[in-house]
Amino acid sequence: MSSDSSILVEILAVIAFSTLFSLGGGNGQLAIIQDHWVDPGLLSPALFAWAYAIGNFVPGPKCSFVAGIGYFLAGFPGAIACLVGISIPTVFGASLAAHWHDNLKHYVALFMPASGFVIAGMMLTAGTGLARNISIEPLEYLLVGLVVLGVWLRRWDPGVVVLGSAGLGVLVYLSS
Amino acid sequence: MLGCTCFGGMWAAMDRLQRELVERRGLLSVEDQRSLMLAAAMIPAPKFLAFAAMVGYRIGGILGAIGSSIAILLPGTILVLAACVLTVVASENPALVTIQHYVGLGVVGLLAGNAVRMFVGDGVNRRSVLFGLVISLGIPLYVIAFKGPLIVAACVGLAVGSIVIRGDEKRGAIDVE
Repeated sequence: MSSDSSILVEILAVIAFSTLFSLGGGNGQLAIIQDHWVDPGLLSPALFAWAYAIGNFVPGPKCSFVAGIGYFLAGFPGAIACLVGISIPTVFGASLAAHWHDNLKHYVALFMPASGFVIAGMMLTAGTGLARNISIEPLEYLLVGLVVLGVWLRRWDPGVVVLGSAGLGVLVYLSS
Repeated sequence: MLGCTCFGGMWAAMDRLQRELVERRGLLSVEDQRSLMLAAAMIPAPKFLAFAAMVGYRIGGILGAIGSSIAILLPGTILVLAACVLTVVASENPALVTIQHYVGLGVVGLLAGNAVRMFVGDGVNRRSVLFGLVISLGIPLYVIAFKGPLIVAACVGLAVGSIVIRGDEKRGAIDVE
């Protein structure tokens, strides 16, 4: 198997596995991507955050941001591998859930109470990893803290946060 | 069409979905729609995509699920890819570099804020909070301080958590994007 097809298989497998940590819409998937490609230096943290940010502005499922991750890793074939990777477990799980909805509820309920804590830990890991990778200045931690409070207490929409951050970036660039 | 016109995730698009799937096309009843939306939030998959696949399965079996997943993903994916291609073309532009840095700060805040929201939840008793705190802090501690694999930490956390945290003690991750 060539290295090109190896990376595509790897992308497909990692994205498919990471999809399992999207339970309840939590972003555990981000932590897997961060851990597998950003921390080892295969994907720049700026592009990782950028792809996620774009995903908040497009119509349809926000998980379409994975296409951007795949594109940055391996071009258009990488994007397709990501889409296949995210679709396989989703279609399989959704079909099972639609078919045996009542029977599966019991098993899902076993994991549901703990899933919030696990995904919280995974998101904390992703946030910490990203913060270490993008070199945050001391003053910029105030901005991060403000966003944390806004998302936690005021339920700020991700699109608003991304748009506000980008707008601040434009202002900083223009004033420098 | 819904893949082109629904913004903000599944819950934000609820009215739009109801208009199209229930009122206009009669593919689902209101009860079916709500039941499938809740089920989509409970399976390990992105909610909106899972909902589309479940609706597709109801209408056309497994092929319907595959078709509806592709249809709901395609418009957003094309836009994401277009934006990413433009990003690569303009990657040296200092304005874009500055904007990307600030967007990165926003994403760090989003991740941490959502983590806190997911941890706090509601209806959590003291025992669950204690175990949950150990799990939520143990995962980043294991990965960052001890360089352990995240996947192992997450799977162990989920397995242990499913044993020690039970019932309706924790609402879970239903409404966090």
